[in-house]
Amino acid sequence: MSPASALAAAGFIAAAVALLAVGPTGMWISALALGLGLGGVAALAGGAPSFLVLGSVGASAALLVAAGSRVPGLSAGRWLLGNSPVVGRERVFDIRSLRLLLGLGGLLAARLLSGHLGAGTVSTQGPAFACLFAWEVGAIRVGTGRGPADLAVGALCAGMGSAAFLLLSSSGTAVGPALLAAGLPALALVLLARSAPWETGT
Amino acid sequence: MGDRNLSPAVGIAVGAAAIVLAWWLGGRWRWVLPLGVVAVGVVAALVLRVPIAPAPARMASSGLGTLAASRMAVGVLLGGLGAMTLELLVGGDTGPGSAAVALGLLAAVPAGMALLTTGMVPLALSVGLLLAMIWVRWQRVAGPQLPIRSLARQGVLVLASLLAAAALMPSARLGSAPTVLEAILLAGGVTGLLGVLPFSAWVGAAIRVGRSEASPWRIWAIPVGVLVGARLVATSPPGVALPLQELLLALGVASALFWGLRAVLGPSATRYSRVLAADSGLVCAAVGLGSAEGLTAALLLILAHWLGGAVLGEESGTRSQLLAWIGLSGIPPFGGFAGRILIVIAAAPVSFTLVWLLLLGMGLQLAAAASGMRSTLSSTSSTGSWRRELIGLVAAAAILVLGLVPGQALQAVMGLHP
Repeated sequence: MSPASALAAAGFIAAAVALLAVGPTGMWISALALGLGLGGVAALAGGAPSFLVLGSVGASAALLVAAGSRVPGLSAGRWLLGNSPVVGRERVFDIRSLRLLLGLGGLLAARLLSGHLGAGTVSTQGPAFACLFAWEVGAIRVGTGRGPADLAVGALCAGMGSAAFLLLSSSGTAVGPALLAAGLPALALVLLARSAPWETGT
Repeated sequence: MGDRNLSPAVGIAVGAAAIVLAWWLGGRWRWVLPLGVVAVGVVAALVLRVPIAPAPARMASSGLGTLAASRMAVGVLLGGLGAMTLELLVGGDTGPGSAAVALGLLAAVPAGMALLTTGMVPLALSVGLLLAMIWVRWQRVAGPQLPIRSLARQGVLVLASLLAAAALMPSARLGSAPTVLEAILLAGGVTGLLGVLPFSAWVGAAIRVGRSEASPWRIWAIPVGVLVGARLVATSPPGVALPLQELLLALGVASALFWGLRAVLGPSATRYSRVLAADSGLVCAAVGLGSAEGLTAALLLILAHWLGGAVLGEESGTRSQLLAWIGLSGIPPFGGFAGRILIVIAAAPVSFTLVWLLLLGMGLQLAAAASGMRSTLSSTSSTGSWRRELIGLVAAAAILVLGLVPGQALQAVMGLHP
């Protein structure tokens, strides 16, 4: 396996982790995995600086979300959204099973589309596949989200996927937009990671 | 215009005076006045420091872009702040609370960024921030009800669509990415911001938070959506612009028909939100036409709703409300008619079927407005103060002026001749 294929595979695995991770722990694991995995994908065109952009955003968000349980000021969910009643809901599928099923559909769509995309001079089938799949995972998490934190993770997936593709396309000039595209959803995740969910899974 | 700088000393003095005055006046002004000064100050600083320039030939996708103010963007910013002031004056004590007004004023900042930036990623993030601000406020008011959750999902999907469109844009320009995919993503962002089908979650949410709380959507989200949509249509390469226009047209017409019908059949308390959603569909279709007439029609309808929406956001039963319903109904010579007939004129060269569908949508809105007039006539007279009623009457009468002299009105507010 070439290094390029390995990095693209790491990007795909990061998106899969973000798809299946649940609960408060899943929030920081998703952020870290996305930062490292998609940072590696972006590094295919831009090298270490591109990796640093996404990697640092993901690692910082993961650190702050993990620290949020101990430092109450970091989590602004209650201040922003007020107290929300949590509702129990019966589901035919467990939330992870539902995401897995939708993720399989997303996998197929990403596979079909990635062959038609080009990003600058990079051979994109593998890397574009990882970016597209991360974006689709974001859409799935938004669609199946049970609270503001899930939506923030969805936004982070979409932001990271887009930022990685931007860095692949034009690594020289896209550092600023990529940092913004990944950074602001990461900030939203830090603020909303501990917010009360709208509903529980049972 | 770039050398007209706002002196920081003047800004600080005005801000300090506003804070002192606000604490002296007390009540809701304690929050509204300082925030108003901040919002007006930020908008003024943006407008005065950014040179008025023609719209960019292309949106910057791989860079952050710059800030460039078009006359229309400045018109929407200042008009939006004016509409917010009108909302406050017409509402009085029964109108929007201080937090709602504060949101309306602060929303001017992301709206201004979205209108002025030439970078695709900053545009996506400004739009996302604008929708997030509205959602956060509405969730605080109504709690996590289903439509409010849907609005949150809508906001994130708009952000995700525009970010993905920004990422694909360099490839789409080279012709190496599916241009239809790029058009779908851009259409997702624009329709989500305009709130047309399939992103109409805001209608249910707006109904649940109350009419005056819902005003930021009418004042900021829809006008920003129109200008952003028009800019994306104008600056995209032909391979992207054509499918984008077709999508905006199709979704806009479908939305106008769907929400027009819902407005006719729905209860009176929800009628104005549904008429606004139907008009949102019409302006989406107008943007999709991609012509100067279409954009002019969209801006006329925005102006009509800025004026009429403030009046219709209050309790039913006033004369001003009756006049506002007539103004928005599409009866000549009011502003609602001027905007709608221009859309039909712009659509005529495109397709005969499209003209008929648009006329059907407008007929539904006329019927909905007629129901609104009947409800207003049959309800008891309002006990509001005569000053508020007088301001409401002036605002509603201004819709008539808008219909009589649309060119001059658009020239004055947006710098645009029909």
